[in-house]
Amino acid sequence: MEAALKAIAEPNRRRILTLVRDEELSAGEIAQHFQVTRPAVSQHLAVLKHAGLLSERRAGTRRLYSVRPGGLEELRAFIEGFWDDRLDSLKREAEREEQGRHGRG
Amino acid sequence: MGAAERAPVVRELEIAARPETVWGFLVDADKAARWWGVTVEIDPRVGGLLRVLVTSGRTALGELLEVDPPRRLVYTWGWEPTGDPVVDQVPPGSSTVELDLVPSAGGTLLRMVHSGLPTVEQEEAHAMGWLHYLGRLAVAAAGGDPGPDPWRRSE
Repeated sequence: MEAALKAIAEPNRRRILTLVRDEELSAGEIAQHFQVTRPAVSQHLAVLKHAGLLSERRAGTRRLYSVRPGGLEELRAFIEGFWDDRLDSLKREAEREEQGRHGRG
Repeated sequence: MGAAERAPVVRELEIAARPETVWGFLVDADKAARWWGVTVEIDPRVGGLLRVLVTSGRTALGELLEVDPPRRLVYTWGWEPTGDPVVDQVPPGSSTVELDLVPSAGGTLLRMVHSGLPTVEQEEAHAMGWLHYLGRLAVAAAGGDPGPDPWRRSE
């Protein structure tokens, strides 16, 4: 919540959200609406993304941005990835321990 | 299961180790740290606390609900607030993790069920909240007065 509030406290970032509310735009298309430099726009996009307000999708070589009102699918992906990683490690460690026990025995 | 309920995340995997060995990795803090990543504090009895600092730097908290060695371990699960609106939808106490160990020919079949995850309705309420406040911010940003917030509750 706090990251999101900080993200939308900046006027250019609010304007970016307005631009991509109804359509997906690339970073270049977004930058055309601003006087600020392209790196500055990229920085704003990164802040919005980190705050969970903006989604990024790759289409070929382009990255398209749109408003992400919520993050349920991301939460799902996060939790699934989290368990996949952790349970893989659990399997590896438990099997290593079991083998070690047999090796010593 | 009602439409409002969120399907749990379910994982099953074969582990070439006896259930007793796997169990040790669930309840022994030093062994648990080897797969959780960083540090684990666990008091392996019903009502005991679980605190995991995971590799991403996030901290997960839980309370043990069932401890049946070497068969079944159940605890509540949630991440401490991180400022990440995605992860913060699962605060401590809000969801449940069940781990069942079943002896198998190869060793152990581990089944993990993570349930109680946020529902679509909660998610939509969350999204509506954002749109509401974004709208008010836009008015304020344009120099206008968004007026008293009708959503604001006395706290």
